[in-house]
Amino acid sequence: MSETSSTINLSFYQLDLNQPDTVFVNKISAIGSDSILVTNTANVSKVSLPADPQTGSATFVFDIREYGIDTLIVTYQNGARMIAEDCPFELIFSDLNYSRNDFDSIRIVNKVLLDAINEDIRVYNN
Amino acid sequence: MKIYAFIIISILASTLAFGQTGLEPDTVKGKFIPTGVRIGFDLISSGEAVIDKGIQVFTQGEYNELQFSADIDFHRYFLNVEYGIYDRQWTRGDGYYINKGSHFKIGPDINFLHKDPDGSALFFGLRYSFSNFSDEIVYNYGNQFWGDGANRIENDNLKANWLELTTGLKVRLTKIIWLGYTARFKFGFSTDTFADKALIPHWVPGFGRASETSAWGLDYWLIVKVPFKKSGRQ
Repeated sequence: MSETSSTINLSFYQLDLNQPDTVFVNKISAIGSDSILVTNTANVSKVSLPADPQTGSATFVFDIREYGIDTLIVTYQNGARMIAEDCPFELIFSDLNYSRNDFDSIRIVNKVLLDAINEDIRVYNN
Repeated sequence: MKIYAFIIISILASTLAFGQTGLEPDTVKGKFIPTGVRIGFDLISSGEAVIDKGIQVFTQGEYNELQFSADIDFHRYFLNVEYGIYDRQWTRGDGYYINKGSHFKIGPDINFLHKDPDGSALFFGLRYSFSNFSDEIVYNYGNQFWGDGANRIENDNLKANWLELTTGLKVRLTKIIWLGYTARFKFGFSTDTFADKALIPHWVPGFGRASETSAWGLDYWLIVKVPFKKSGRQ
């Protein structure tokens, strides 16, 4: 049974207080996709960002009412394995990191995307 | 616990064998001269492949595994080498996985039936084993946000090593034809060996599943003995 995930869980934090934050999201989108992840939503503390199985990175654009527009490029190793003869192949996103961010601060708190873990990236704003 | 069980069973077997051979004084002068070399072919590994995939395993099948062994005797001791090749493809709806490579094992056995007039052997031994192999996965995926697609990942020149405790029998049928089996407990393999790979191997040729730190094995050998000339013993 696969325990891995293809979703990057990002949480908003207040930089000064180092406490979870809630924001109003005007829009969160991904470069390379026409779909919108979140739009016009209040009291957002966490968002789920889809990792792209085809490439080793994904670019997300955050339009937050309180903080303006920020861009985040996440990188990861795109892997797979055969768990057992009678199971589907398991996709593994590991070595999670970032190559660009416009937030006040950012911290990677988990490197391998797993179903059991609900926070992979913290972004901090003032 | 597996390793302790294996050691206890092996010691009991060897104790029984000692009881059969007697305790009279022995002279070893000249007995360390080898009497011949035994070359074995494993019937289980090739048999499994035939049962699974039919006779095509000997041509271009999806499962091809062959194992050979050779040993040479020095009185009650044998020096063993084993070599095997492995080539298997697992195919399913979302893609396929291929694993191919070889393994080599070397180590000594001690024979507790060395006084048997037929030269039969009840042995206990140790192997150092290593494997060189490569693997490849091709898979299709479906993603609600990014859409569907396919990927291919491969590893070249993977290496793994482990140790084995062995025990078994070799029995003479005719002057040159022997049958025997080797039961083995494989240990000392680290599952962290390939943790940093994008494609984490499923199988290590000669060992088994790469997600396990230990494994059991059984080989059933059809053996041909090539006697050395001028040897007065079997």
